[in-house]
Amino acid sequence: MNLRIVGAILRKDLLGLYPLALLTALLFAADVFILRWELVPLWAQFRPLLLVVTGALATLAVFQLDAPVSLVDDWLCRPVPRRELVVAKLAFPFAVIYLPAAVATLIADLCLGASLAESLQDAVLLRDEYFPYAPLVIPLLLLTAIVTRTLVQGMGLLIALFACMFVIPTPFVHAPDPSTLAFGDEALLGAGLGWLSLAPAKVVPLLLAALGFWLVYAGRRILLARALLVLTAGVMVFLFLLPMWLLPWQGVMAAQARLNPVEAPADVEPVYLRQTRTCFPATRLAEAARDPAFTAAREASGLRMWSNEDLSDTGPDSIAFITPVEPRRVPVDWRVKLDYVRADYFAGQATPVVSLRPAAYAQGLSQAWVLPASALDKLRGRQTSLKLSYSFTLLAPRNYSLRVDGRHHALPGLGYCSAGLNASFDHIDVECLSAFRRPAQLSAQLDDIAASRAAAPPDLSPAWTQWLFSQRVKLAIHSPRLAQHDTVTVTAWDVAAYVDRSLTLPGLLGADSATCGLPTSDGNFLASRWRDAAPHEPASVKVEEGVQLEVLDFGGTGSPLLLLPGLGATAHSYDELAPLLARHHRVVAMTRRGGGYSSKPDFGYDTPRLAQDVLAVMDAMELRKAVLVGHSIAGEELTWLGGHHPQRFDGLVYLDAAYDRSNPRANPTLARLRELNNRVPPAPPVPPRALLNYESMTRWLEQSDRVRLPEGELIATWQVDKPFLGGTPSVDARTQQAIQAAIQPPDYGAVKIPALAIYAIDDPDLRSSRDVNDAELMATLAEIRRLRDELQRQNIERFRTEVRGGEVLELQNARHYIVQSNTQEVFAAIEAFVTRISCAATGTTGAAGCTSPPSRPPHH
Amino acid sequence: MSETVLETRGVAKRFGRFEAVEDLDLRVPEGSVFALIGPNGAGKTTTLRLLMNILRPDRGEIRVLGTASQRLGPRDFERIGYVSESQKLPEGLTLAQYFDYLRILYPAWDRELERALCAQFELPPARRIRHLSHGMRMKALLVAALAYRPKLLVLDEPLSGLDTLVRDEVVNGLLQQAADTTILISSHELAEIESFTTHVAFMQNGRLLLQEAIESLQARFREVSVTLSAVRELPQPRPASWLLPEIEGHRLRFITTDYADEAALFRQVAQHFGAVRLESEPMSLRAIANSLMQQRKRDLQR
Repeated sequence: MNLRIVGAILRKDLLGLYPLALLTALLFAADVFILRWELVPLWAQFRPLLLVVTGALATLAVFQLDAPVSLVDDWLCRPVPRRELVVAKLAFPFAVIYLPAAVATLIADLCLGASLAESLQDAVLLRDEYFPYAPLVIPLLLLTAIVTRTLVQGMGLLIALFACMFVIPTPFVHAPDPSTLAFGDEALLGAGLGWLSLAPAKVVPLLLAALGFWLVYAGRRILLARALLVLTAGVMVFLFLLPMWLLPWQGVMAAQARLNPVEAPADVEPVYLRQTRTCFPATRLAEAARDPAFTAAREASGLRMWSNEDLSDTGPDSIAFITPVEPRRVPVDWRVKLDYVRADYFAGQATPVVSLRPAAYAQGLSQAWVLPASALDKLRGRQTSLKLSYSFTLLAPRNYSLRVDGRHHALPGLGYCSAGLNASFDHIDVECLSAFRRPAQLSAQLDDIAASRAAAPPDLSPAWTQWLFSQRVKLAIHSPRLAQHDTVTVTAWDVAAYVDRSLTLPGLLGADSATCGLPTSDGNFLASRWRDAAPHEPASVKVEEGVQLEVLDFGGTGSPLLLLPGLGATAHSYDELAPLLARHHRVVAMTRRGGGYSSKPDFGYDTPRLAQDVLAVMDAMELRKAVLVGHSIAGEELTWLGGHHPQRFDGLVYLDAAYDRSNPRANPTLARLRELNNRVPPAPPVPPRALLNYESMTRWLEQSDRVRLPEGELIATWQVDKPFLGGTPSVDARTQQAIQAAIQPPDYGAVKIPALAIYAIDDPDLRSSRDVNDAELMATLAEIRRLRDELQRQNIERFRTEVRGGEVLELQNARHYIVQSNTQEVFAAIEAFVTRISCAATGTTGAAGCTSPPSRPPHH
Repeated sequence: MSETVLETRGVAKRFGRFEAVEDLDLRVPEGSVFALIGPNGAGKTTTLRLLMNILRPDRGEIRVLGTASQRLGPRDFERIGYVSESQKLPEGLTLAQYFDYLRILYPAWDRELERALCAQFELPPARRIRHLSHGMRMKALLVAALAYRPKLLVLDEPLSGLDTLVRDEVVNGLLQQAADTTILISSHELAEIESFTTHVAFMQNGRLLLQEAIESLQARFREVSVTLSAVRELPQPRPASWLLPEIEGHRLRFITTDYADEAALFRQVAQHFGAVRLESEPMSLRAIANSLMQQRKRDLQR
């Protein structure tokens, strides 16, 4: 290789095309700065076309400057070696496209505070997310450049080729058959499997382009090269569009598992699927889009809108339905990424009568479907079953803690990341650069608030396709004020296993047709009769600008009691206890922010702020002083208020609430408990008959040996009165996780007022009314019970020793929902406690009521 | 003058149905100034492109400087200069930049010669090629083909479209600097090249009609005018060495292609027409070419 000649040709080309070369170089360099500093609005939208056209012009021009197809070009009779000529020609785009972008990237990165190592990797490696389709353009561009003579010819040919490749075939491209894997945003790409189709579509045309170069420069076979260009375009169409018709998804998954194997396959045998609703939400297609209840159900499943194709092609009598399905026994903290799903209806035979593909995709396993009226006719009156088949990838996390300081930090095994609050403080921008190798997916979240997670699109391509590339991922974590955000958690997800699972259910919609009937045009869901008849006066109290809390005033006179619910629960959870207490007390219950009918702002979930809300409610309800009663997580507010505002409270009553819940990840017992709980099968979903009214629900809960909640609480938190959603918890995961994430260790020593802690001992939920023949389950439950008891014992001891004058009452055989499971005992204990503290306060131990012992003495 | 620098045997080239060159046997002796002449469309440019390996022949064999044309590589082109009136140059470069580029390609590039030629042709080195006049472009091309003293110089219509002054300048430059170079020049401007060609080949309709040293050509071609004693018909068949014979009354005109001396010519004419009076005139290259062309046209019409 004579580099002197290469240099001479390159120099000649740069001088000869200097306006175009300069423009191209400036544009590609400016692009880096514009993108990194977001200098031009909407640049991201029109830059691809601009850059592709400029890059194409520069490439065409440089090859046509010494056109190999020409009969009159100067170089033809000069001593120009072909190899040097080709190298010089290829060096031109390198010099005017790659080099300016690389230098600009280096400068931009260094200016933005990245280290030299990071900046160099970022600058030197190719950035395929910038030009995801560049490898598809380059072979055609190069082949066009060497078989045409003028720019007009070249650009014309390119436009014609792209029209033939992508515009003309479009009408013939249909959504895939259920048994095939669709290419495009919905399947291959959305599932991160795009590389399976794109990799050959990138490599094969490049090889063909190399062959074209050989034909033109070594053999001067121009006609053959032109034919090769057409062939290359055809091959690309085939490889690019082929998956839309042909790829069998089982084959694709097998190829994926073979080409990107998991190093040590995880033991995923126990992973299974379950339906979370007995009857799948279903409606006639005529109503699907405009039925607000069904729309709410669809949105609750995280599903996007129906496609027009689904709504228009199948007719109004078709049935739209949603399959809420969740994976169980997935290892703790792992994630499930759906790759493909299909539904098959069987009617006794081995082959399906009807096969469906999802009509709207979601990130989770819940999917929406359309059962066409024609298919319904085939199934009507037959003994049918529905088989839902899923292929999914299990992703295991590698967590990194990243300071939110706007600086670049090296995260070993991942790359370089930076996090910073944006200018308007409404989100945290996380930017990560992975070089040579990247995780299957990258996500960032507020510490311990998984619901705040922002994730990049998954990419399951194997490492050997990534070594030349770097990936810059930008993620925005919204609502940063949900929690403390000195640090955020960046997670690199790695493929841990590929799993195929199916779920076979009787009938058409999740259970036999007697249980789950088909929807009809008059709307056949059973009208529910739910009513919150509890004797309370609902009020809404403004505690902060834009934050209203639901407050229930149960009336009564006497010393005031303020009741706080547990996590995810509402003031209605006291609908049965409160009226009892209201006989002798003024009783008010409140729902903390983030739950029930209270506001769910993006901020203020730390314990001090929640405690301020309690004080604000007391002020609004004109409670100068009160005994504060709280269930479960309300213990946090109780301890904080008891320590910081003792003057506002006469006493504290912890209802199975006095525990140290801080920093659960650091506690091995809690970690083990999480793992064990993951193994316990969940309660079965609520059957439709139970949703008819409170009586039927009560019967079902009793039959299932589950605690009965007040009717108002079921309406507020289980959405029992809502069609399609009844029985589904209405929990705002973000706010509930934010509350938990902010928990600090309790400072019992600061509590200077009387306190009673009632503990639910030996929760029967952990003994089994479940399958006693399941030895593994029994062993798991036994271990959970042992660890829970151990932990509870530690907490009881701690409360007893740290809270001065703290009383402990242990209620045997009580459930965590102690207010419901042991209402009378709790009532009596609170009454007695209030009496004791009022007697102690007035010093009238001999006064009426002060001598009588509590209905059940505290157990010391 | 015996070595053959360039030689073709049975070369043919078609473009679709059009036979551009047919059975071409060409031999260019070393040191010659070899003119390939013929009317427009005769196949001259195609022939030169075949010789330079810009086109590949469908049949036949071509050897240039001892190398098969299809194997001509950079090493060979270091010894070959090629100038074509339609040559596409890097238009955005200045002349100086263009010569800088070429200098690296040719190990034998003579910077002094380049300067001298530029000075002689009054070429502005700082001017971009796209701003040069046609004449200047041709002169620049000549500089670019002469500055490395090629062994073979192939010129495709180098004088076409040039005005007389520039033409003379180019020809003079060529003759001064290419004394040791074999020159193959194609042209249809015969008057201009006649003065310096040593050999000539004549092409028409893709075929080579003749090739020989210009002295022998001019020696054997004579325009003959005969005064006949009586009105006579042309002899049939036409004597092979007569071109374009015509009789008007008592006057016979033809062009002989095998003139040796007046006596021999007289004997030849007398053999057909008896006692005659005869005058013969030497012919210019253009006149020879024209006569060949017309005769071929007539032959084809028959």
